[in-house]
Amino acid sequence: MNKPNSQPLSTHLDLANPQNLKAYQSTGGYAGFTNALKMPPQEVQQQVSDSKLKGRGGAGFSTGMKWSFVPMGEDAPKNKYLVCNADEMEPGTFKDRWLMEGSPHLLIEGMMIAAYAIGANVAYIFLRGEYRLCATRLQQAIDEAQAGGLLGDNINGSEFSLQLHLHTSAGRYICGEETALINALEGKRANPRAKPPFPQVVGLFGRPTIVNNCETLCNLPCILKNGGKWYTELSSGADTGSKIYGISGRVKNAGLWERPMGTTAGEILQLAGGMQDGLKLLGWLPGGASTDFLMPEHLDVPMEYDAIAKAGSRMGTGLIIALDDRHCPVGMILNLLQFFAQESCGWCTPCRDGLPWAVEILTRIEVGQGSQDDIDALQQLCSFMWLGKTFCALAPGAVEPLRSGMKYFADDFQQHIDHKGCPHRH
Amino acid sequence: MAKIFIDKQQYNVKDGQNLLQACLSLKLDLPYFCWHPAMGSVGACRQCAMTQYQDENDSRGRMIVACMTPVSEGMHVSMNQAPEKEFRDMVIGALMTHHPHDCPVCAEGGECHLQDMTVMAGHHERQYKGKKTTFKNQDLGPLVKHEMNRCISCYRCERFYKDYAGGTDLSAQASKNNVYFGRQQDGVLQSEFAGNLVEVCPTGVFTDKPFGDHYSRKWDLQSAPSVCQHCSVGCNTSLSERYGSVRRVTNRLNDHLNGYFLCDRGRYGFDFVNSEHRVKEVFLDGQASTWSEPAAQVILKDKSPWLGIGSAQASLEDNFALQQLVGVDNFCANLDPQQESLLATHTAILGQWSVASLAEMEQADAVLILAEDVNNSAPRIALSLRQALMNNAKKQAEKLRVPSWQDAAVRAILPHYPVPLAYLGYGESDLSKQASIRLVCDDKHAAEQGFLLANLLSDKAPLPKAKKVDEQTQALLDILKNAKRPLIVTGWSANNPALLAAANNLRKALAELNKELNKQQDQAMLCIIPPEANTLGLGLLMQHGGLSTEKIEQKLAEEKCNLLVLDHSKAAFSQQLAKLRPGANKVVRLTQLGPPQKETANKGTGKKGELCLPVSSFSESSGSQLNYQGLIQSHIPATKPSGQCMPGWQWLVNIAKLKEHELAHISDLGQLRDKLAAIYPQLSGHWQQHHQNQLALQTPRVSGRTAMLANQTVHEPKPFSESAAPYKQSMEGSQAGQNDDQPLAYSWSPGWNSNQSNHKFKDEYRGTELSEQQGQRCILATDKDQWFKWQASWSKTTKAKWQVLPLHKVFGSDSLSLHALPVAQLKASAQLVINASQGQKLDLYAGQLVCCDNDSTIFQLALSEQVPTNTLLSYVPADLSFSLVSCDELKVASTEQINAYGLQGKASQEALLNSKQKHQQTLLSQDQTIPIHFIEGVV
Amino acid sequence: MSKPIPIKHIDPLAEPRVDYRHYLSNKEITAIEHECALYESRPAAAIDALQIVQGERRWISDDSLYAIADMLGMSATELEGIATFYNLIYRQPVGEHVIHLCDSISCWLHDFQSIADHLRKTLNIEFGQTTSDGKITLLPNVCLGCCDKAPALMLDGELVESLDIASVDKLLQGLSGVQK
Repeated sequence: MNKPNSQPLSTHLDLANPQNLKAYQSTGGYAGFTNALKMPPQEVQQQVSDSKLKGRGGAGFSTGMKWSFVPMGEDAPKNKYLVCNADEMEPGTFKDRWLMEGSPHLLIEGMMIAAYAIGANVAYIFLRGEYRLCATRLQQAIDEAQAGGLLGDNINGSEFSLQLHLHTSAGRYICGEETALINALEGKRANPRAKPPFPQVVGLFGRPTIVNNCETLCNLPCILKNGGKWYTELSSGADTGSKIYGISGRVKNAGLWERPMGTTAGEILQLAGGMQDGLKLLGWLPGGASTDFLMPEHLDVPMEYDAIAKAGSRMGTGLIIALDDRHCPVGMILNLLQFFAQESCGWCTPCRDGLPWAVEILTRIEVGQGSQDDIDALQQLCSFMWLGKTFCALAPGAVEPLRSGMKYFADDFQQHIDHKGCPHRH
Repeated sequence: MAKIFIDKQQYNVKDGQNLLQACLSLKLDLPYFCWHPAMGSVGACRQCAMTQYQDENDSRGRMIVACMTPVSEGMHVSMNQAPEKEFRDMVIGALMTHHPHDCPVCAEGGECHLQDMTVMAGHHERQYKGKKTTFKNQDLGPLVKHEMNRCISCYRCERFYKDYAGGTDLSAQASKNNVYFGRQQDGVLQSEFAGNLVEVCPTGVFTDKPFGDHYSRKWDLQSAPSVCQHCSVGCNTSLSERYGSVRRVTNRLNDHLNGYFLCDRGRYGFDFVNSEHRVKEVFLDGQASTWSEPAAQVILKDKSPWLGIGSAQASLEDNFALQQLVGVDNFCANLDPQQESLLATHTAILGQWSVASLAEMEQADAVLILAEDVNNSAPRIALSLRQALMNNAKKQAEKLRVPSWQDAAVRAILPHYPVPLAYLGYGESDLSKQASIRLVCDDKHAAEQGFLLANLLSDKAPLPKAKKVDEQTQALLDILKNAKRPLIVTGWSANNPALLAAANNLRKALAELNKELNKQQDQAMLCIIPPEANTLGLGLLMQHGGLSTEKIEQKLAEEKCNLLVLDHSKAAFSQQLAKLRPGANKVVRLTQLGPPQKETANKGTGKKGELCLPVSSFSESSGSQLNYQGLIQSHIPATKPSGQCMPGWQWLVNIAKLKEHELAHISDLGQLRDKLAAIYPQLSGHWQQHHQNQLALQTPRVSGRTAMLANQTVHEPKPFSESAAPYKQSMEGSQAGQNDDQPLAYSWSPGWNSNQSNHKFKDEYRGTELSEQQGQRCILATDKDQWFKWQASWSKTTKAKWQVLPLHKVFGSDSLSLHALPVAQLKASAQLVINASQGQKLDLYAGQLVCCDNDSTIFQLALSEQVPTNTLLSYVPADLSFSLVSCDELKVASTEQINAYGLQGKASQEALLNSKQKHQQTLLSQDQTIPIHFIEGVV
Repeated sequence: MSKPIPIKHIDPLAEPRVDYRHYLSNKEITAIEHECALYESRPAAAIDALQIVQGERRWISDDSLYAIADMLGMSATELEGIATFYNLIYRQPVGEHVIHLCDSISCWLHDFQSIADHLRKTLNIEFGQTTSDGKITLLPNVCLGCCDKAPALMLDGELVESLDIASVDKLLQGLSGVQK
């Protein structure tokens, strides 16, 4: 029995010059898709459910489950859509860019599998506008696949046909929210839509639609190649499979590494060579800007959904942002909130007007004009913008670093107010 | 019904609705902004937050927004616990971070939903310390004022304008806390429903410009329940007055007709009552005179027979009084021969079928329009047809277990589940654009198609001349067969009775089909649109026979007769009167508005013996009209008659006294109405209803009449009211909403000063099962079982090169509203539309100036694919008359004509602005010192 | 093609229209038509169309907006609502080169502020402005996804990573848009 390849996502990865179709196929590429095509779509869905794959976009929802809501069979609507969410705009996150630049065909194969599984005949890659290199390489790969008969009508002589198009966004964080992404893809303002109805039933152009994150889709080829069970054995932790982890901030060498699910933040920090000389780790965000702060004592928590949640944060995108002791937590939180205020779509009140309000207060605190009331006001705003009170998850995401920051770095906030200024500025 | 618990209190509410609707129906005060009863829920503002609990033991619960939560059996929610109350307070706080707090100078002040909700949510202290964002306002034209800084981003304006009314030139722009609602650049809002933004906007971003120019707070206005005069729908309005001048019209909720929305012709057209063209004193041969003036008396007492000419612009009472005075056989409805046969056909049809209300039409699942430009002849109906087009998508949504009030979801699937709309006829309009079946043809062909379809549905139906069944007809046939609630729409605007006959046959054929398939009930619908507010009032009176226009000319030729005329303000009418005048002995005119050229009104024709009696307008006296359904509706005056004006019927009674005619015994409106009811028993119900208990025209918040004129006198002045009137010009009498049969004079409820207080009077808006439409339909069943046969005369075609078909415009085709300055500013100038490809062949281009044969009218040319070849669609504003029905030569205007036209255009624009300023000044000066004569009974 | 309209006040109400066939280049038209073919409805290509035209003309002028609206069969107002929603659509003129400096968290931790100040000083403009010679426009940008090589900026769509004062100067000299 051969040992399972422990890095299925990065085996094909070459950032300098990514594999073309031939190279990719000659190293086992599209084997997963070929297997899938031999099964009925339902069985492909089953394999993915067995793999217990969870969405890598941040919410961590079971992919198999998500697919299961798509109407299938004869009386299901004829047109269905698959959309790859490659609108990677979460601050501190750069894994999808890495995958798309490094092995475009991996994503395309993943999308072909997903499209086949849900019976979609048209698929879009929704790519953020700033990723020019990704766009070029993906388009090349798509054209290759088209020419190679892997896209188009009756692929490999089967009943299955698929058109795959690349859409580059004009830049808006909210497009990462799947229903807002759908509006953007329809050429509209990217305001989120109310659920229900869920996109699986009423999505793009009012038709059944699945929106999956780029990394999620990149996991499909190896699952279909080696089976769902094989995938579950990649990790020893609670969550299955392989994950692109990474870290940025004042560490020796920031970067990305594919590791089994459940790798601890400490290990990742080590892979990065630890903090830069003379700097201490003050706190860290486990999975992008919209996750709660964790502290150094949490470094040995395995980076998996439940464990991180138990520690009081979210796995998010799994890319760590490390705060060092030379930088001001208040300043960091202000920077994060500025981002969210700027990127609010303007649809619902708490987000549209609450975030700029929080920014206004934080700015005053940071420059030393804050008062005790401002702390209470911030607390109020945290609950004002919390889950269930807003239309989508943008504002609650923004609240996470704020509320946890105010808990862990209460002293820093206090100093700003007592000493009428930022202690970290000289 | 569903049993739900709010704050542990048990209530029974209608299921299927959302929690916010339910709370409001229970008369609970739950603040909200983005939800609108007619537009559904989108969950943007989050103001209506409540807490939902798993069961009675759950004490934490989770926050929800009521407008997005369907009520479910046994659900436990709270509205008044700390968490949701704090959140709602905070929402207002956030909404107000950038609000300018400029209430004192805001035209919304005192009737502002934002003010009410702020108080209701308990927000009173400003916490936000930052800068406010500010915006540049846009000039949106003469009707609507724009003040963006007040915006709280509830998205209602965009949702009404774009989604509900189909406008394309207002949208949300930019993002985050910079969202901006406006046009791409300054310019007049294109939609004929733009005025509704004033009422849809919960604060003062969009306000009523003409009203704001001469502003008064809501609590200083006295309002009367009125009925719109500018088309046949009879939308219910509130007419508001201050210091004797009518200031504005607002929507008066009527579930079955206008609902929450009016068209701009109705909202702004009322201003004709303040027009400088109003005739306010007696004129004798063009000279100011008096009733008692001997010369006048001579005319009135003249012994030779009197012929009466009625008017569709006058009330039923006025026309009835005239008919009584001159006798049924001497009463003429003042219609051309074609219109006379239209009226006959129309009343005959109403004798068989009841015509659908707007609410019913909104339930249609298939619509067939026969050559009627609904968008221009009855805009409010067009708006309802737009809503009908959503029905299949709503049904599908329910199938997906998504409630149909989830507006965004329904619109997302709308393209895949359209309601079939067939438009057979000519010209472009919003509805013709929506049509899934579009046949470009003239009215004759449309009528033939109607007859043909009727025959295909039921072989009992008579066939037209042309019998060819093409694919489109077949497709249409299947649609009508498969529809549960098919709707047939036609009207007078093509001026062709064959269309009405066709509609009748279609309606009857559908009924027959129903019988064959023995469906439980026949839900097919019919809508026929007459041209004017009281056209069917004349129809009712003419049922007993009368005088045709041709006959009048004969009679005048045969013997010496006098004319007693209820004036009509259309140019065509004054032209016709000019034609009759020479033959007539004496002419007595009951005039409201001088014809467009004032001189002729005053100077007459130089011919001796023409007496002009000033008639009070609909804002100055009670009266009734029959709307397009034949439904009688009465309006109530908001002010006393101006100058020497009196209601038409009053003048006629006075004349009767001189002649010792029995009408002389009538001493007040009540008695006249009793007389009407004696002849038309079906009316008695309405009058009883209407006169039963008096209605207060002021809100309880008005602290006594004394306050209204306190700067003049604090004596208790006796306010104006007609004798035996069904209302009181005061806060006494039964208040709005206290019983359902009472019309609302105003919309107010404790804590709710804006028009949103309607919900305090309503349980729900146009719910799934419609309530019975109140009121009396007057034109009663005579012949239950009539097919119309195709008449040979209908097949006549012109030999001329071009056939001329009439076209109508919202701003221009109604003569009354053209005397309202804001509408006059938007008046479309005369226009000819021809088939685009034919136009290009003839090397004609859009914007070119042309005229027909030797007629002097100059038209702007427009090209459209939706015009049959060899056809001229001719639109002329109501203050011009143009009578050609065919044309041999289409002439390009000469350079002189072009220059003259340009100058004339500029001149009239300037004239308008001048008279607007003049008008402005008089009104304002009046405000400073209120003429004491407004206050009767004060020494 | 309808000829110019003789009477000015013929239709003072309507929105301005630009016939796209006269205004847009064949290249633009072909590219936009290609995008239209990828969606169920023409207006769905609005964002792609804006990007295509911007790619050719640097920014979206009013006339460009009207032409695109005309081509996609939508109203200028609606298209304006879309154009002003997205960060990378310029509704104001920009310079030959556009610099988007990342101002999000990882770059903040790597002191992007000093780079920002240096750019403002050397170019002698504030963020959102264009150098007087019309060469360079300076704009902020949210996270560019270069967090492992912060601080970073985007120059005319190309990412430039691991910035320091020296590399920025070199970059600017390359553009020869420096204000002395």
